Amino acid sequence: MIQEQTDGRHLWELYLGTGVDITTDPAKAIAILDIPNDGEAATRTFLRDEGPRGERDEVLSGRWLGTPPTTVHKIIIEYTEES
Amino acid sequence: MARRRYRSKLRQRPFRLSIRVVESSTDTAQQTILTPRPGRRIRFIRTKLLQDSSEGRFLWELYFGDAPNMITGPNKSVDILAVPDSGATATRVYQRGQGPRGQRNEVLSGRWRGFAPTNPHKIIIEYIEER
Repeated sequence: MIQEQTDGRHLWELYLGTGVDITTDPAKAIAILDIPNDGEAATRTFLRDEGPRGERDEVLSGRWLGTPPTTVHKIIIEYTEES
Repeated sequence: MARRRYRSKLRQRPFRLSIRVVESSTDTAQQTILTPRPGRRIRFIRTKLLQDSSEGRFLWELYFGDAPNMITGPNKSVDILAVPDSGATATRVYQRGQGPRGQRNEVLSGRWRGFAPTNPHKIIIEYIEER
């Protein structure tokens, strides 16, 4: 997650499913990223077959925790699809 | 003569990572942050701690069991995290089968050391459950 223009520090929730926030179903949580002002943050890298896996057809969601930024941020997602 | 390729007949157990998000307490008492399913053990992988609103630096103990603090059972310690003002911190990541492991049915606890914050902090726990 990258903050392109100065916008202050923000927290961002990342989770599987369509819950309204990360605490809706704590078992689907992945991470909370702490994006610094003019900065970037990333989840840790999971080794092959060791990362969190969604259910079939389940989406990946993100949500600003507390106060959202006023400018859009860039989100880069690395993943594999399994049958 | 071609060398025969060795293939182990042992099948590795699937790695089923679980992640939980909980809110920290706001006092210095022991807090149970994770309870395994009955008859299971927690294999610790990683924990991250985030401070949402600026509140200063705090130290947080992480250990197995339900003792009142970390030094009660030093062999059950996992880590002490220093959370910076308006910041986040995390333990190291343990590789498959290498993280600290609790006893059967033993909980994972957290506790603010010295002073507690006035606002709950976010705790993200990565672990697997083992028999």
